[in-house]
Amino acid sequence: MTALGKLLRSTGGLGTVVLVLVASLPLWFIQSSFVLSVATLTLIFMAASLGWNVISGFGGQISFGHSIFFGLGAYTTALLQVRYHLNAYVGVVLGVVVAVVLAVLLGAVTLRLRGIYFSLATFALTLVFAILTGHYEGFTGGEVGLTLPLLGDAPGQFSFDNKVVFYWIATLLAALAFVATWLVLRSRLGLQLRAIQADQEAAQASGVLAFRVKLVGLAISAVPAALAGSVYMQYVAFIDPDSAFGATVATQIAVIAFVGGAGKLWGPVIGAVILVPLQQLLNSSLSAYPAGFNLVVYALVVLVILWIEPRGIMSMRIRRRTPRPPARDAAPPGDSVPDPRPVDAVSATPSVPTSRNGS
Amino acid sequence: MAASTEPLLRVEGLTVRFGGLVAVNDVNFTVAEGELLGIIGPNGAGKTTTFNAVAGAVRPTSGTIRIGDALVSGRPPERVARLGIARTFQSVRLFKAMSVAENVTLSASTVCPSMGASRERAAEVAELLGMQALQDSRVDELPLADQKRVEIARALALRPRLLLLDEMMSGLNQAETRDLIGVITTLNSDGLTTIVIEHVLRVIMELSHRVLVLDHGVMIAEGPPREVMSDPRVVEAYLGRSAAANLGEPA
Repeated sequence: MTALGKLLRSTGGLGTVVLVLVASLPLWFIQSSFVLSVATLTLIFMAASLGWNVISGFGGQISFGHSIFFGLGAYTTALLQVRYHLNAYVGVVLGVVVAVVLAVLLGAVTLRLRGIYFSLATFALTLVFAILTGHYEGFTGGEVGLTLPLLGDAPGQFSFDNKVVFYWIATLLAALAFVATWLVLRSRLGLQLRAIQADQEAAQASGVLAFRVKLVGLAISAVPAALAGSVYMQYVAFIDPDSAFGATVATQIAVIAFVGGAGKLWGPVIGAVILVPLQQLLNSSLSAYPAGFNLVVYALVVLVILWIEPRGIMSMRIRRRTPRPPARDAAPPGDSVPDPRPVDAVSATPSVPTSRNGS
Repeated sequence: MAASTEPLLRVEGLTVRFGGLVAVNDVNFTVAEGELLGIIGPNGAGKTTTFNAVAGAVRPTSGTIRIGDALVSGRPPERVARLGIARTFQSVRLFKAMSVAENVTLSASTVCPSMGASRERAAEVAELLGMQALQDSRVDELPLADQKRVEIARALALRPRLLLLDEMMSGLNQAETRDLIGVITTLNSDGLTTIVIEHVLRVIMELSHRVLVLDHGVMIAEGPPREVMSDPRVVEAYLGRSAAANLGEPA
């Protein structure tokens, strides 16, 4: 309870607005299946992007392949049902296990290296998965994809006729992912990940076991992405290599966080609320134009937002309200107030910080 | 002076090669418990490389480094830090966008059992250095002198047995330098063994119990500051001929 209270207090008005909006949405739009579907997808990708935020946003190890974990969640859930006739919930759990095992293997190989290697390896690996799932048709369904058997309303099999149920499941998933990332941010792991992002060498000199911290961060980060994949699978009832492991999914998970604010607790939430509906709207409204036109518009919107504020929307908000950020405004760690000016002439203002009272 | 008691740090035959360049060549020294050792030498003498080797940031080509009974050489920096060797950086390397308290808590978190204990440790260190008022300030908004104090605080949070200070005085004015000398002296007289690399000779003279002089990767002199400073080889290597002439010691 106190934790929830703290969360609501520390995230303030924005948190309340988003919670109220999300919770009441199906009550307003229950007639419109399009809006409901967009809202459900928004929450699913929000969850995946929240997971991404742990290793990439907090830890600075930018993954361009979180679709690996999303896809593994989706395919594990689907294949266990279609090929082995197992319960869907078994697939959900095993999907997480498979994703975490793969995260540890991938991390063990790539996280010792610094810089771009991790990003490249994640991106390459997700494309490899796309090719492999496309190739082994007999097992995975190949490029044609996999369709779940129609089970009708079978809650025991993770199947519901009423799509609103999926909306609530996606809401729960996103909420759990949000609380999990918030807990990580407050923990020793979160602090150490942020230190690695700021300066790995200095973090190591302070005793941070950088490789291990990044490995744990990546493993945790894979969980919401895998769960998002499983829920997506059950909701859409269809998956193919491109919508699981493809470059579009891979970049989307990262771009959502970048646009909202990578490393900010609320970044993936804001990013998903803006980008997923935008993408769905463009897909449906620009279908008359040549193929790919929707992607051009989508990319332009992303570029404009990042051109206005490279650190994402969460940084815009705070910057406008307080041009000179007072440090006493006790923001949660990941919500740290970005300094609008680079401070290279720090010694020019000697006595400003000492006048502040730690409260 | 350290010959009778068992030294805390023992560096034997330390050699560091970068490709064809021998940055440090067969350097031997010890640091006694509670001692304050100064390392000086002209640019490129191998001071920082020696320092980095002791901190685990550079792997020695040959030679051994021990703290107490534990072998330091060959271990990565995070393990060396956990063995009780804490360092600061020549150019301040704090975790920007984090508060002072977070910077210090981070380093405490690698040796304390919980976040609660880490925060307590950070508060203790802040009190020790008189930085309570700065706790919630972002480090990149602080003046340089305060940033250097935070670096020391971050190192102290590790409860180090040996503190390595790399050119702390660069960029500071006289008053700030005096303040920092006070801090370092106080810590050392409370029993913290310290190695200082410094360009400003006055600082080394004032601080050190013993001075070690490197030139071109080789140790050319060692001893109490005043003795070492009047050694003609040191004067020439470190200050150049004109300074040697000024001191009335033609080389």
